[in-house]
Amino acid sequence: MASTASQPATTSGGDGVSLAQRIIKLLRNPLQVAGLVIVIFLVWTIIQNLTGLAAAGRPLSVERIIRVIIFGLAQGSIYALIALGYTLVYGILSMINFAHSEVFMSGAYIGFFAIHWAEQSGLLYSNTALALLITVTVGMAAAVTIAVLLERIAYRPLRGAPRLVPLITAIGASIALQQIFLRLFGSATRVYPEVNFYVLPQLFRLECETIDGAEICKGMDLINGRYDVQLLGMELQLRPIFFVVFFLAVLMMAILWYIVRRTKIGKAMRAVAEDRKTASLMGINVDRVIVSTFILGAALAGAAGVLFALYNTQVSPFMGFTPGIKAFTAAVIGGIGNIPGAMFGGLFLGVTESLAPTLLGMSSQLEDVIVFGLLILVLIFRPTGIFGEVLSEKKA
Amino acid sequence: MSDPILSAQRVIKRFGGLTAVRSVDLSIPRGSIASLIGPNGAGKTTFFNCVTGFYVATEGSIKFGNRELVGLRPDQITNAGIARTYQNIRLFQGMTALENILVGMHPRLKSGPLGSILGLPGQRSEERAALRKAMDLLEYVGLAGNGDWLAENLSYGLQRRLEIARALASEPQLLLLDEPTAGMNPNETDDMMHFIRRLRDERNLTIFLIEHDMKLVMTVSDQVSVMDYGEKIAEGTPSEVQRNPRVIEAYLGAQNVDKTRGKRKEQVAS
Amino acid sequence: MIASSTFRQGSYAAAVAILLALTGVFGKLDERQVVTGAITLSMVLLAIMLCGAGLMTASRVKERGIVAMLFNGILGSLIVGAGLALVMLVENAIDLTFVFAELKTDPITPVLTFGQTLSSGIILLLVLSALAGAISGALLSIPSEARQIILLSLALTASVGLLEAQIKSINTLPDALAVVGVLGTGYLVAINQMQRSSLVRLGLGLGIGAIVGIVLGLIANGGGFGTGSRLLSAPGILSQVIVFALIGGMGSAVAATQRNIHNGTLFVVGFLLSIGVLNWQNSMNWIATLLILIVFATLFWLMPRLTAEASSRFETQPRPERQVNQRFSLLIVLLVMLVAPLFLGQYITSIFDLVGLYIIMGIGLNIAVGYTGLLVLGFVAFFALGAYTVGTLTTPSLLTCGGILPADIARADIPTICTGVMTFWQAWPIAVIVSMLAGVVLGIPVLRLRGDYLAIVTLGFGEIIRLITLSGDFKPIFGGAQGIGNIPVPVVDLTFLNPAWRFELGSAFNIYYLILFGIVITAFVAYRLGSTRLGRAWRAIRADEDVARAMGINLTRAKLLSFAVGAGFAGLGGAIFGSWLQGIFPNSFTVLVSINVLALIIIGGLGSIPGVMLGAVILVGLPEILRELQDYRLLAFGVLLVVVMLARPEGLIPPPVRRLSEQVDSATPQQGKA
Repeated sequence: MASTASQPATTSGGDGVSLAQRIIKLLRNPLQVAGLVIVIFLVWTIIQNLTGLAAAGRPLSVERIIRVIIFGLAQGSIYALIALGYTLVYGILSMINFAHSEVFMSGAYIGFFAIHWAEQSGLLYSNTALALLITVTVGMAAAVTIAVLLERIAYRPLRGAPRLVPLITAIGASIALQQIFLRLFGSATRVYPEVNFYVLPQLFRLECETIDGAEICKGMDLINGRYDVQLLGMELQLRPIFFVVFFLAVLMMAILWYIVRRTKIGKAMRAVAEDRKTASLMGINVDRVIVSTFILGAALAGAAGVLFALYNTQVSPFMGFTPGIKAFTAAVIGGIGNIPGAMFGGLFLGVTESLAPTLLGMSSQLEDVIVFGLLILVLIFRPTGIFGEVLSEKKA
Repeated sequence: MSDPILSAQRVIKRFGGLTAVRSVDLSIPRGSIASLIGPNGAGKTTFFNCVTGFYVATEGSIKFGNRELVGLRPDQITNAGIARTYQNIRLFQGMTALENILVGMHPRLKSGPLGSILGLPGQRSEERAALRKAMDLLEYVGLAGNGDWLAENLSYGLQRRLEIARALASEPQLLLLDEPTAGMNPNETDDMMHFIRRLRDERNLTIFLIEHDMKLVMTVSDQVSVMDYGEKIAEGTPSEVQRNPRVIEAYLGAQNVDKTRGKRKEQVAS
Repeated sequence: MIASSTFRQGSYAAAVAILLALTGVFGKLDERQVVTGAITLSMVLLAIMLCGAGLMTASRVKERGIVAMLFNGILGSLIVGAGLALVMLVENAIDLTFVFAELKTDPITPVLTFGQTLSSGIILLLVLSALAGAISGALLSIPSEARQIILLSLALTASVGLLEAQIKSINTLPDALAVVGVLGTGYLVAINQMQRSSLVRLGLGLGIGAIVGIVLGLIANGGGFGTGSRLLSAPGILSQVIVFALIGGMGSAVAATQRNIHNGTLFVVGFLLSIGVLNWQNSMNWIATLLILIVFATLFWLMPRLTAEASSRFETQPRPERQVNQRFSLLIVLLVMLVAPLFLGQYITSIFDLVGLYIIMGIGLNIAVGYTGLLVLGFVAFFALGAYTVGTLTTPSLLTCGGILPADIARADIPTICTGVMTFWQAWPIAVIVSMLAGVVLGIPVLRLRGDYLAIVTLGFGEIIRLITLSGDFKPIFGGAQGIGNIPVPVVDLTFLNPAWRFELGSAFNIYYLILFGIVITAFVAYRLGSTRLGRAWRAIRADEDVARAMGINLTRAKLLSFAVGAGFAGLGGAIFGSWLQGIFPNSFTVLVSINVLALIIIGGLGSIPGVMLGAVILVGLPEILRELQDYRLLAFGVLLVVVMLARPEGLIPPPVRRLSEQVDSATPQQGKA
């Protein structure tokens, strides 16, 4: 009670404190000093590495960095979409829904069967937009189904149990879901079909053929296209899918934000997060609110799964693990329980992990090491995340 | 009264925009029974929490003898000689009554991990002595024979007593009791009253308690302090305080409100 | 008559059955025979599904009488049977193999139609379902004790049948009878002499055991009963006498002992007899099946009665007497463990090794999770650190060759340059210390945070360690994906006593003793720490962190210690693991290891050392033996974790309530002595 309740007070109560005092306070904590040393070391490594590369005549091109950042933003949007699910559930139940990564996976995996069916029936080629819409819908529906079952079977009976209990159940559910998918659908990796989704032929005069003298353009391929673009004198190779993922993710987050802030169910959610017992006394159906939270989070994760699979093409029962724990890391970095924090955390993590190997001169095998290192660093300096944790519960 | 065991000066505790304790000065004479009273939400438990290190006072100083407590961790404060009980009983679930008391003795025991593993003679005799002392404490608070009961299986009244025994186990000089009679019937309250006196007389303790039961407060206390809206509004002997018009106005008027609110938990932070 | 719950429950069961069927489980289990030539594992699974549904639905209408139970039981099983029939129809109508890939190799229809045509197979399946339902209904109407006896003995008989090949040659029937006879004699003598002290009873047990041993040995060797037997045709009469004396002593000790030990002994007796029967019949035929069923049924009938008496006898003894009893039982268990590999054979011993390794890790993790309540999800990291430390220190490496890459050194020069190469005995303490230090370094920033963060950070840490060992960047030290090879096995060199006594702990047999030693040490340390001042502080932290701190406990210190001790045990496990396999690969250290360990301590019972052991046997040992089920091991883990948390959050063997007040009473008279 004491420690957690006083933390927001001390962190937010520092408005009147001068910068110098803050630094002194920072230096008094040996842990933060150690963290600072690590940060300085990292910065130094980056500078060394960059000057080293420049000296060797292979300076990092701005083009490359921009490309990496764009990829990182797309990847980060996926993390953000998943992270929202963790954050929503955590905000309401103060519990890590460990199986959320499998909700993401199920969206991508069941989505595969939808898109495979569309490919077989030809719909994917005759009406690509509809086929993609169906795929995303199926993915979201699968994810929502799994999440609702999960809540009903594994989590609801344990509300009010000691913290460790639901967390262990969630781990168990996560393994069980992975294994059910593995055993049902086999261990072979499934591959999303190649989709060419051409849009706006009027605007983008790309992939053109000259038939009978008239130039007919298919337009921009949103999914599979790679285009060289001249921008501000830079030669950039861009994939539209990354922009699509980013913008769709932002759109979905905006919708979520609207739901939580402006609708009746959103208000009920915030009330339940604040105080479950009082909320139920006010006539709020707590069970329904919690299920809706799971549904919202799962829908986002399902959509993220399909988007992720569209550009990574491979799906397997284990595909959820890494994005899952990265998304959780993102949620913690942003401040768990905090919706804008989760969005920011996801994007930040995505960009950092794609930039860091280049900047630090490591192999990209160590990308994940950087992610967890970042988590530990953030926790050293801001235990409640960058945006601050939203503490809903009173642990007195 | 020249030698206060605890003296607080201008203690302020803020939570964000809310000030729960506003510049409280308070001193407790050694060997006395002092009470802190006031309506719910007056900041009494918050003040307790500042003394025991659960909260860090935003401003001001709290001295235990000559030692400054503000900034110390709760475990350091306990080691210094202050023990407490809780408004809503907080025993260690899943541990027996004896084990609860043995945990309370933690700061007075010395044996480290190596001694425990090897079962060195020093560690063994210390454990035996601790166990013996724990049994005595159990008997002292009237729990003889309940030593091997899981704490959660004891009756409410016994749990309160066990909590006091656990606090005594750390051999404190100052014992803070947060509403020791909450939820008790008049008979049990009477027993508790005598017990608190006995504690002070036989164990050479100073007792500082938060209490709502006026009969108990007025009977046992040497000194009564009254808090309202985070401020100390009066202090003195029970009879002085009872005559104080501010207290009558602010506190006794508010007590009726208390009754309608029932025994809701004090939520200072909210 | 028909309850609405029947349809609901029946369809849940049918959904689970269909889901499992679609994984191709029936085809996969059809190879394994439970009763030779008659019953396969897939049939057992089908029976479990059908009867499970029947029991579930029938139990809902228990108060309405036997007819209702029969009806609802039949209906419940029929729903499951119909569901499975439906799946077969669909399987034959459309091609499911694209979606449900396992059906390609393991289709459902051939198994569930029992070799008939589809239509007659389905009719047969439905008839069987109805039968199963009726049996379930009938089972529910008999007293619950009888039902439990039937179900448990069926289950154990089936497991004996499953393990036929592995356990058949463990002991012979005369062996089993001799052991049971001596054990029983000691037991009966002790019961009749309860008024005497436990030491006297022990002596009587030992003496009678020895006498019976001599007699049996003479009879067996004279009459030729002992052929193939390990005990009766033992090389010398002296060893026979010692063994039987100990068994007799065990019998007298068990006559008044705690529930766990008593039940455990009875289980061992049951298995000895069944294996004896199996050995005698030489296959799991109908005679053997029937006899083994009778053995187990008798056992389960006797168990509650005998155990209740034995434990009440145990309770009524004064404490010092009980201690004598307990210590003797513990000694016997240890002795049995010491000689066990000689009987169990290489295969089962190697499984024991693996189980033992997990027990060491489980005891370590139990300190962090079970005692202190710190949820650690990346325990494998410390295991890996232990293994890699031993790996790099006992082979020519960057560290042991004075900073020169071994690849750059000529083979002949390696002994002269790589002078830092250590033996296992020098390296393992370092491995433990490295793991502990890693625990401290990771713990300092993280342990002050809330538990959820600890879980996720440690999970991340586990992955970091694996990725670092796997990555090319650290290849010179950790060997990258190829790992570290040619790690020397630990050598116990006692040649100064006897020139022949040089033991290389490389085989499953020899490493067994090292692992057993490790278990004894870790269990002892964990027990001592858990039952003294520090252990109480840990449990107080688990119960209520804030109050624990207010009791004067330094949270950071106590948590760090707990974390570090746990990590150290994992490091020890890793050290043994590395030198046992003589090679280390990053892929041995996946997150699954962490989850295995966590699952076994939770299912066994958090905070309980016997729980860890039982958990390891169930979760590590059983899947190793049931190779066919290995594919389903993780699925079972996941489901088990959920089910245990829902139904029995304290685990199978929760830690006992510590009755400290008795120690005070007995401490008083002993004070003079001590």
